[in-house]
Amino acid sequence: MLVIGLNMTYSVLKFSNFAHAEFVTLGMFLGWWSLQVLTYLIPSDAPLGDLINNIFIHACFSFIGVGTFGIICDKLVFSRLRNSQANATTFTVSSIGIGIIARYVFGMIWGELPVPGAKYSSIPSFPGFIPEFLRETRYNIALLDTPFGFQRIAITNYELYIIFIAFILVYTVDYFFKNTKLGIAMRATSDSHELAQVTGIDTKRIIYYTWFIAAGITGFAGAWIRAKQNNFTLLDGSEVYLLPIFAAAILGGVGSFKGGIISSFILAFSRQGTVILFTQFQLSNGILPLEDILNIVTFAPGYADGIGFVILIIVLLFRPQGISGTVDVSRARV
Amino acid sequence: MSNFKSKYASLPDFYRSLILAIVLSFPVFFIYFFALGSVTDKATFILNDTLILVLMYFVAALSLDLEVGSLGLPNFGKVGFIALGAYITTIIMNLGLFGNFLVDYAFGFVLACIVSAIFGWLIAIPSVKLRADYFAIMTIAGGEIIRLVLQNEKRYFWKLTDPVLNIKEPLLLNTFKQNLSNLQIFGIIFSDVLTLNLGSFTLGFGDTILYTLDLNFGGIFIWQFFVFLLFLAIAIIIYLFVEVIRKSPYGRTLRAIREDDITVTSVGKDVYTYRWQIAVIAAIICSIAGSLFCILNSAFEPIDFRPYITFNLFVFIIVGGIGNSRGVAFGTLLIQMFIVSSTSEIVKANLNIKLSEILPVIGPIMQDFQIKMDLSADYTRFVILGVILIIFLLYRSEGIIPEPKSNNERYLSLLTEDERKDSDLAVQQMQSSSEKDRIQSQFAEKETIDEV
Repeated sequence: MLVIGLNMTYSVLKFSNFAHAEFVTLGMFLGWWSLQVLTYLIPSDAPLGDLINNIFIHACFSFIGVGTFGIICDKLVFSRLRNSQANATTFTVSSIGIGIIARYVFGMIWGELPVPGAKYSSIPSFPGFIPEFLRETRYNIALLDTPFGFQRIAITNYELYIIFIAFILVYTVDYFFKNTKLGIAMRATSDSHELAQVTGIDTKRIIYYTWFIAAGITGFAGAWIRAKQNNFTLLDGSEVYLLPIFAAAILGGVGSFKGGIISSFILAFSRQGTVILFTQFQLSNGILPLEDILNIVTFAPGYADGIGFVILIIVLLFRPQGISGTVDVSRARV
Repeated sequence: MSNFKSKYASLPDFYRSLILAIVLSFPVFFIYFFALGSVTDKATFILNDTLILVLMYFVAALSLDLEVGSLGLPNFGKVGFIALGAYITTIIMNLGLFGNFLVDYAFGFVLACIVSAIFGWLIAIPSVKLRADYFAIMTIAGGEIIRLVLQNEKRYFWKLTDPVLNIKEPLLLNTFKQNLSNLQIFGIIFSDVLTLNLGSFTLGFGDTILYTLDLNFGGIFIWQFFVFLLFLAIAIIIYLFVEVIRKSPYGRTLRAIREDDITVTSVGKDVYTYRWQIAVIAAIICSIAGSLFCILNSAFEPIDFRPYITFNLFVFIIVGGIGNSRGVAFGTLLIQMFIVSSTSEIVKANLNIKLSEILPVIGPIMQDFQIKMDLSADYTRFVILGVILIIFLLYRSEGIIPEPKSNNERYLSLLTEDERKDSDLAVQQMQSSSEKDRIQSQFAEKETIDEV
């Protein structure tokens, strides 16, 4: 029942970067690829093999890879756009363009659908020092007898780790942004380039650091999500995760990390709740057979993917600054 | 190189556009004629596979350009309205209310326009107040919601294949082409074939043949030609309509909003009203493109309306020229020719390099590390399109044919020859001098006044 996208929470970037979806995709690919490479290089019976070839290493690998990719994107395109004082439309369109280029270049390199276990295993392992009960693959946490039928919370170890790491990262990044020197410099740069430069901050370097950390965390999350899924495709990032990420970022308030994780939970719960509710509405012996009563609309569980968009539209209508945000999304008006 | 650059920069606008157009169209035409040479039925390839598609996308691109180019609203949900238009027209046609398929089509066409106007209004009302990037997210969400509704409302939008077992399929069929081919008006049988054969020419000297030009175009059905005429007529009407909007005082207000909405608000215009009006008009034009889409692809399902269609429309208008209908036409023709030729069989067969299987030493290592490096046409096409888009955005954001700097020919023609010359010169001076120069000249004036 519980699915959390860790990546939803990290919208450090100051403009709407639609190429963000490709960071997720690249993170997935790099995590998968480093698993393949490490499995090839290290024989399975080597001592301490699982100390090197484990999910944490893969995630760190994709952190570095995707972070570098973010810097390359900025250097090639976004810095030039910033220098030419382009408007927001140009940024949006060009980030979508970068997304398309990147997606199909990844497709060229690794193929559209990397077959899980084509040559080696596709499921990463955990390092040996983690106790056995934490490496168990599946937990059934609770059995609830609700009016909506018999529901249970089934959670795999990957999802448990994702939630755990998500909370740690949220608080770390929050602390980092508010208290360290680099974080303060980042905030100053985002407020005003000129003033930051006057006080002696190298804004170019700060922007590169920001890209590296933002893209890197996305890639880190992508590697973890990849480990949870049975298979993944090239279009996962842009078609599955892009809009939920934006919905969560806006709902939580852009730039607010704690708001981001709360809104991700809200979105995930409402999505699953919609699935359960609509399934009940469709059944004629459910608690409320709405579909038989209202004979004009279909209550398909497929609509659950759309509930994020509906929440997004409602949020933008009534509270565009999000749960805890202070960003003004409306157009400049006198 | 720098010499060439400065020469290029000093050329008049017209020649710069011409150079760019030739440079860009040369490889496109090369691939296109390469693809054309392999096709046996050349007339169908040119007319049915290329020109009709171009006209359909031209209508859709115009509706996008009206929003992005004239008003600065980056709408990324265009494909939803294309889907709405295609679906409603087809469903009305399949009901067969009037007995005549042409009347049915016209009725569905009008109904699709009304429904998408309502949908466009519903999406526009909350989103026109938002910043450009939030507007983009909103419209993506709107387009996806339309697609989800089409996918899930089986009762209305799915085709009943088995009435007894109540089995439904998402695939819808449009019978316009079929009906048209059975038609017979004024003694013209629509299923007849028009042929055009100009023979073949060989280029060379003596016995050596350098190149053989095959001009046997094959045949097309009269109904295909009729469909082409219908598309052309609708595209021209839409083009004229958009031009009328752009040249009117209303269109000037739109451009003013695009440049600076605060100033427009300060002179007493309601910016949001203009925004949602244009969003609705663009939705209607887009649903017309959808009605053409359902003639073109007689069978379609919700999965066909992917967001990449909207991305293609953006490439068309940015390459051709934002805010300029002629530029949109050129861009659509050029890029769509490229897409059509790169999806043809021969290009796909020729461009299918698997580097990991070819390379001698690195290849096996790459295979061990699971790196494929497939240079297939499907991937390369998107990469090339994206690179073209980014290059245009970075270095020539006004497109191949830039937007005309003044379009009030109607009023200029009232002036005498001398007056007009003067005003042209004044405008040219204004536009040629950069912001910096203007400020400096103002300072200079001020200083001279101070000295006096």
